[in-house]
Amino acid sequence: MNIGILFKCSEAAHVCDKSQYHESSVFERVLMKLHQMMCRVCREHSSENTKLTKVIEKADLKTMPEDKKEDIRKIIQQEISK
Amino acid sequence: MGLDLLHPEKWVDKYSDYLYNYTIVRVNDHEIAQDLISETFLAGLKSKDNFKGDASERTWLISILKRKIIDHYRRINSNKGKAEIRVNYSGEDSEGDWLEERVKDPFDKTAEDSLENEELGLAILNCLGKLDDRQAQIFKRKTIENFDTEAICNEFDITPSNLWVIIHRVRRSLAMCLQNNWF
Repeated sequence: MNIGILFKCSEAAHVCDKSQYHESSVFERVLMKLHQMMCRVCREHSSENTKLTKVIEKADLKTMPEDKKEDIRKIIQQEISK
Repeated sequence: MGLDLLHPEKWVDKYSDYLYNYTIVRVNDHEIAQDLISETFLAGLKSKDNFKGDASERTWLISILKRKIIDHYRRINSNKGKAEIRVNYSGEDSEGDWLEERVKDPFDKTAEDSLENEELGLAILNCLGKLDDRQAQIFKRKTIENFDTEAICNEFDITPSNLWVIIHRVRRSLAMCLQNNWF
């Protein structure tokens, strides 16, 4: 019996997302790969998803610290209410 | 008239990360970048009547920020007594790598690479800016700040299933947006 077919596309997509953050188990990844062997759409989605991860890593994005954002929010609020 | 078109109460959530990434590669100092952005928002509020709505809110804020960055370098240069402009830093370790030094080496692609990375970063943030604020924030926590799933779930009061649904939606939207605007 082909167990890859037991995995739905939505489940494969879910594991694919978790894999981008290294949060999927080996078992989940095996099932996902088996599913992808038979499902071209999921195979392509996985490839695009991995590409997106690499692009985001390459961009080396930074976020402003939350406490600083809060400070600025307060300053803006004070100015608006003047 | 300005405030009718502007939404300063949303500026921090919508634009602070975009402006931060724009600034950090130009001043190479997190504290200075934060201060310049804070000054930009305040200057925006003070000159809100000048905003006619011809450009987007973000473009208008960027134009103010550019002047703030130039003023910052003018202040530094007037202190030093000579003109130096640092462009395209690859990280804190590269402090002191001046553009003039870099262009001497024709095989050094670092400046070009970091310019492309900066544009890519801004394109990603631009795409995220088009999404629902909360979803974009959750995505940033997970993907850029590398927060644990549990910590994000606690902060936003959502279940792990909700989180992964949001992550999936944002990733799909982001991929489509980048496909149209970057690749």
